[in-house]
Amino acid sequence: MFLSKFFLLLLGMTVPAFFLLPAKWRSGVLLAAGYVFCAYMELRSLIILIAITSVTYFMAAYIEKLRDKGACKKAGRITFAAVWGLTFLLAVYKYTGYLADCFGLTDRISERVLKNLMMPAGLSFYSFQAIGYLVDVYKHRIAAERKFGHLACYLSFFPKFVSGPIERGEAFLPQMKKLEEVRFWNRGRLSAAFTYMLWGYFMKLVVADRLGRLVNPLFAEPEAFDSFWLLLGVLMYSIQIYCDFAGYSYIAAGCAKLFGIELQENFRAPYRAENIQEFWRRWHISLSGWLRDYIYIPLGGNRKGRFRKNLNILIVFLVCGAWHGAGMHFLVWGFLHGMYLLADSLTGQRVKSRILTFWLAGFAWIFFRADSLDGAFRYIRQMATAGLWPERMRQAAESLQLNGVEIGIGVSGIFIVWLADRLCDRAKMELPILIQQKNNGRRYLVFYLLLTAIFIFGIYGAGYHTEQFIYMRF
Amino acid sequence: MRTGMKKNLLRAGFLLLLIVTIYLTSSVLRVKSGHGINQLEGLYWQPEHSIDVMMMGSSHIHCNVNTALLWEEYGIAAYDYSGAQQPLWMTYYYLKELYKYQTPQVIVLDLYSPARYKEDYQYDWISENILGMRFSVNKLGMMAASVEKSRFFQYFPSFSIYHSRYDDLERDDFNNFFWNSREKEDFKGYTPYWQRTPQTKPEISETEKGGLTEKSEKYLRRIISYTKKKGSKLVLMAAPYVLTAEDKLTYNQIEEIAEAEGITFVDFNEYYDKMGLDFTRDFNDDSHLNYWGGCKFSDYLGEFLTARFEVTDRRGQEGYESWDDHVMLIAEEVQSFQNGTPGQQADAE
Repeated sequence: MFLSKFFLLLLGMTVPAFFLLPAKWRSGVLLAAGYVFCAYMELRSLIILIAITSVTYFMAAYIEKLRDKGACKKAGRITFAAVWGLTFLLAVYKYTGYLADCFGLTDRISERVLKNLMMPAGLSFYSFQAIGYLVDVYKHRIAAERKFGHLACYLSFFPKFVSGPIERGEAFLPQMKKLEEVRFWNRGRLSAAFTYMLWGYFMKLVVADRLGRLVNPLFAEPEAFDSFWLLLGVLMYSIQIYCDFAGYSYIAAGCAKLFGIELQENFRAPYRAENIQEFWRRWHISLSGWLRDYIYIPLGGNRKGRFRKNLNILIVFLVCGAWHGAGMHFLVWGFLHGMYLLADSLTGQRVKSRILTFWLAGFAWIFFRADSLDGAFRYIRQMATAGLWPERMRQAAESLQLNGVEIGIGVSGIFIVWLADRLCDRAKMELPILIQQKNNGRRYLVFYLLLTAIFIFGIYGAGYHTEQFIYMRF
Repeated sequence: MRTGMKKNLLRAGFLLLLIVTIYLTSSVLRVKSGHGINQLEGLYWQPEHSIDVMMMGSSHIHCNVNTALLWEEYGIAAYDYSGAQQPLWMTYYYLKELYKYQTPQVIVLDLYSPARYKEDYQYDWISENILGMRFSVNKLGMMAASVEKSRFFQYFPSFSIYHSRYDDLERDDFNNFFWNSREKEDFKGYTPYWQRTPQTKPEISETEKGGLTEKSEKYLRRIISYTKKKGSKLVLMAAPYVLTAEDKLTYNQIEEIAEAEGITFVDFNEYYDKMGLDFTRDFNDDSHLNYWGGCKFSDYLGEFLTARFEVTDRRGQEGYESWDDHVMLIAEEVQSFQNGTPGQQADAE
C-alpha cells in the first residue's frame, strides 16, 4: 500500500493541503484523505465505514447521556449490544465466504451477494477501535467525542487505515484537538517522520520482500524441497513477517508524524523475547493490548483462579487467531500461542530462552503462513521426513534463483535488523528515536546508507510486483 | 564555525553525496544493449550539431548501415539512431529528441517495422526503445503513445527497472561515466552481426497497396511534416532483407504517400543484384544482413546519398575525429571476429 502510486500521490497532496489551507480545516483535510483512500480501494467499504462511524458516534453520545443520568444498567446494555453488533458484523464479513465454501454453498449463493460479503478494507482494525472507544466511553475513561469529524478521522486516518496500529481513542482523539498547533517547519518532527519512513521502507523493501521471494515457493510446494530448505523457510518467514509488519508500522508512524500525530509503538524487538508472554508484549502491541483490555480483563483476567485464567488466555488467543483470518489454520495458530502461554504459566516462566521462543513462534507461523490446515501439516510432515539431500539442496538454490549477491544482501539485511533490535532493546527505544539522538553527522550517514540500500537493493519496480503487505489481508 | 552553518554544510554534503551515488550507481546499473538503448544513449554523447545523416527506424538500421564505411568511403557523418522493432510513433518522439542536439541535413527512415508489425501497442522490444531516452517531455509523450495506461509504470521510471541489475554486471557496465565520454563518442550506433545464414532470394511482384495501420500512417505523416518544418530532407526506405509479399503491399502504400508528399522513397529490396548481395553469404538471418552484406548495402546507400543530396564530406574536419576512431573501433571488431571472438549476435528484429 505505501508503495502504491495512489498512496504516494494522496500523501503528496494531503501534506500541502493540510498546511496551506486554514488550520481549522485540518481535521477535514485528513478525513477527506481517509475517505478518498477508502473509496479508491472500494466504494462499498466507504459506505460501511461511514455507517459504522455514524452508529458509533451516536451510540457513544447516548451511552454517555445515560451514564450521566445515572442509568448505568441501560448504558451497559446499550454498550453490550453495540459491541456485539460490531463483532457480529465483523464475523459476518470475515467468515461468510469461508463458511459457505466449507459447506459447499458457494454455488447456491449469488456472486453478487458473495462479493458484497467480502471483507471491507480496514474493517478488522477500525471495528476494534470503535469497540474500544464505546467501552471506554461507558467506563468513563474518555468523554464521547462531540465532533463527528474528529471521531470519523480517528477511525479513517489513512496511514493506519488498512493495517493499524489499533489506536486508542484516549491517545488519538486529544491529538485531533491540537492539529491547529502543528507547524510545518518543525525540524525535529519532520526529521523523525523521515527516519521512521526510511527504516520502515528498508525493513519492507530490502528485507521482507526479498525473503518473501524465497518463502513463497517453499510454502507453495513443500514437496519439492528437503528438510534444510523447509527449516530455513520457517526461519525466513518468521523474519519476513516481522520486517513486513513492523516496516509497515514504522512507515505509518512516519506518515502520521508529518501531520503531527503520534501513533502508538507496535513492535519492540519481538524476537528478543525470552518467553512467549514477553513475545506478546513486544509483538503487535496495539492488538495484544486491545485483547488484554477488552477481552482478557473483562473475562476476569487472572482474578478468578488459575483455571479461569488459563481458560481466558486460551479464549483470547482463539479470538486473536480468528481475527487474523477465516480458516482453521488461523485458529490453530492462535491455539498454539495459547498453549505456549499456558505452558509458560505452568512452568512459572522459568524457561527463558530467546532461541526457543523464536522457534516456538516460528513453528506457529507455519500455520499462519500456510493456505490451509492441510497445507501447514504438509509442510511440517515434509520438513520432518524429507531429510537432507545435498543434490536437492543445490537444485533448490537454483530454482529459488539464489546467488552469492542475493544471499549476501539478504544476510546483511537480516543482520542489520538484528543489530538494530539489539540496540533498541538495550536503549529501550525505537530505532528512529535512537537515530534521532545521534549527532548530525552520524544521522546523515544512516540516512545516506538506508536511502542507498533502498534505492538499489529494494524489491520494487517493473517485472516484480511488490508483495502486498501481509497484514492488509486481515 | 557557527552551528547553523555547520548543519547546513552537513546537509549540503549529504545531498551531494546522495546525488553522486545515484549518478554513479545509475551509470553502472543502466541497461546496456545494442538493440536500441546504446544507440539512443549514444546520441547524448555526440558533439552537438555534428551529425549530417541520421539513420532511423528498426534494427535494419543499426545492423545494416555501416556508419564506419559511410565515413571512410564517402565522408558522411552518419549515426544509426534506431531501436529494435521501433514503431513509427516512437520514431516520431526520437526525432523530436534528436533536434534538441543535432541538425541533420538528411534523415533516412527505414520502414520495416510498420510494414511487418500491425499492433497499435508493441511490447516485444519496447524497453530497448524506452530505456535510453533521458527524462523529458518527449519521453513522456513517447510513453503515452506507446504504452497502455495500465502498463505505464512497468516502464517508468527507468531506474525502477534496472536498479536490480547489481548481480548481472559486466566490465562494460563500469565504462559509462562522464569521464568515458571520449570512448562513448566513438560509438555511432552500428552493431554488426556476424553469422552467415543462407537465404532464398525472394521474387515479389506485388503491386497492390495497403496494410499501413491508421496509427502508423498518422505518425508517418507527423514525421514528414516535422522534418519539413525543421528543414531536413527525409528519405523513406526499406533496407534489404528477405522481403515478403505482405510487406511489399505496405511499401507500395508508403511509396504512394511519399509521392504525394514530395518525399523520396527507395525500396532497396529491388536492388539486391545492383548492390551485389549474395544470398548464400551476406545474411545473418532472414531479416538482417551480416557485416559483409551490410558493407555492400552501406556502400550502395552512401553512393545514393552523396549523389542525391550532396551530403558534406567531413573527412579531415576539426570536431569529427570521433568518426575516425569509430572506423578503428569497427576494424577492431572485425579483427576480433576474425580471431574467433564474435561480437554482437543476432537475436533482434
